[in-house]
Amino acid sequence: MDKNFLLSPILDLSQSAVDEVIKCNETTSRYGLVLSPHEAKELVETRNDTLKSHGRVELGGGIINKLIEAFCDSPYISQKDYSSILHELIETFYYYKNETLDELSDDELIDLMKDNFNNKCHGSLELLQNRDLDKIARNIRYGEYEYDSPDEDDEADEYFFGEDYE
Amino acid sequence: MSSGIEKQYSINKDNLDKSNYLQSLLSESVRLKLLNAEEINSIRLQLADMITMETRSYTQGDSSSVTVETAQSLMMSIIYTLDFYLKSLSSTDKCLDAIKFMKLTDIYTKGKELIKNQIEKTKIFLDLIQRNKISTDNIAYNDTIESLADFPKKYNPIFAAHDLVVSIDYPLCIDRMDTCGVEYISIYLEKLYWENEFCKKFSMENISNLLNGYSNENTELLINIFGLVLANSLGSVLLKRSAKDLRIVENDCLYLQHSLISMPSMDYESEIYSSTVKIIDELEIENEFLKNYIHETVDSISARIKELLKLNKLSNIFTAMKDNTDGTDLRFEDGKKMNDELFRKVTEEIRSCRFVSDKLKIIWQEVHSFIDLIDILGADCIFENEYNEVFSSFGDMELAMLLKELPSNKIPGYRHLNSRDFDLHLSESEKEWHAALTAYLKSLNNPRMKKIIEISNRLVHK
Repeated sequence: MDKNFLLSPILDLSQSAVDEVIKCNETTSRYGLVLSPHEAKELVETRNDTLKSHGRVELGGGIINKLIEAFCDSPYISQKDYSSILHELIETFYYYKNETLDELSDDELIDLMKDNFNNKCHGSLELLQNRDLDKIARNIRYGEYEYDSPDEDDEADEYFFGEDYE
Repeated sequence: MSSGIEKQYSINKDNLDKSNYLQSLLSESVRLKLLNAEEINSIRLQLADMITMETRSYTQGDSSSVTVETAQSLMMSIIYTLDFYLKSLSSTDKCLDAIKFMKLTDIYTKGKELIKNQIEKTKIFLDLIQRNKISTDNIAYNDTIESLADFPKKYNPIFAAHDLVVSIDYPLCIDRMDTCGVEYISIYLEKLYWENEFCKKFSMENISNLLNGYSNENTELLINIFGLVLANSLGSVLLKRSAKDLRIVENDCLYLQHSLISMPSMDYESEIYSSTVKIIDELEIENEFLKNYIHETVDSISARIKELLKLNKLSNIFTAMKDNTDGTDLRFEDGKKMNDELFRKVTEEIRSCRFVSDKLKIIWQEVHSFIDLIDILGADCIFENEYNEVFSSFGDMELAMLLKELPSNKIPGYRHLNSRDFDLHLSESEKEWHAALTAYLKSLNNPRMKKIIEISNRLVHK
């Protein structure tokens, strides 16, 4: 018997997690977004791989569902790239869980991701990951009280969207 | 009357690992086919539920995931708490029954309760130790007692029950370290309390002299005071003196060498045993724990004596006392240190001098403190060959004092534990004067060098 088997209680929750993800189709179909069982399975695998690569353990689960529910009404997501965006969002979520030193709750982080993705980043995952969430994580690590305060004059926005952009 | 027949349990307690009790109990149970795969699986599932529950409570429901380190720590805390209850049961059969027929959450609740009681017990011992601690300058001893006082405040029995949380540097005479958390602390405190009680039977002056005899740097060493005192007390009894007499000189070691080496093994063992009993009787020790502790310590001392007898080195275990206040030591009291502004002026003045003789004149006139002298040597105002002239203007006493400031092992035949040995941030000019002084001392003739080392060994900074 493995010497430390008690320290690693492995439960195969994969199938129930896939079923839960597929269940979300009931809600998302009204926005024209649907996941096939194969895609759902892949999302669960991405979650497992990301957890492993970021040194985290999830007990209970439900993050994929929360992300789907939060992002399904985004004007920047269409059926074509729905699944690939979800993969990215799952990775981003766990990456920033670590980077924010677990200071943010799951719901707070998802709200910040959604808000920045839909508004400041205009659907750009690159901007979300490398600019806005990075800044928030840095502020949290430096103990800033208002970690999600906007830049003084969002120069990057002007650069990307022209001077007329507010 | 004991019948000599022992009850046999299905699992031998000796086969279980104290630091990993539940795990080893389950492994043994599987090996002996006392638990089947279904039961083991049920335990794992219950543990999985418990870790989920504890993680939720740890994150207050805000986060469904935690880092692997946090999860492991929570798991270890849960297992520690379960172990705590299981270890409190009188037999392994009862442990097995508990695992089979009780819910793990119930065992966990009982474990938490026991830990809570144990924390209260440690508070009592902490209070007692504050009152019976011995007066010594040993840094590890004093720091450990100070750190232990924070244990009840820092200890987290819910999420990190297995954690030690305080830093314990002082080594006990017998410290198995096969436990952790509050269990280790309470064992440590109990032993430390009884070690203190034992040492209290001797005069503090004698203990202090014994430590000085052990090493001039005894305040900085990680040594167990009780062990040293007991060894000398045992030596004294073997010499047919009082157990309270800690004085052992070189001739005593010679006498013991002659008398013990010729003794047959059986006689040696009984001599040691009767001497231990004599110590216990003479010091009026009644507590059973302390009696057993003394016997156990003497067993290891006795084994060491046997080895040292072969090498004719009994003086390694029986320490000769040294009185640092009897006049053999030189006590040095530093003069008044100059203020920063004056120091800056003096160093600038020295720096601007063209000739070393002028520099020396200023040093002799303005510097009245040894600390200032060291600061000046490392203040970039004396350069390269000038050091030699500066050092040659100093007498043996000054050089002996400067020698103490050098990192150890620089000068052959001189060993002095120095905090500078661990200083990784010496400035370039400090390194320069250290190198210059080392070279200068090595260039001296042998008798003078020996004299300087001898003075340095006797120097005590007040």
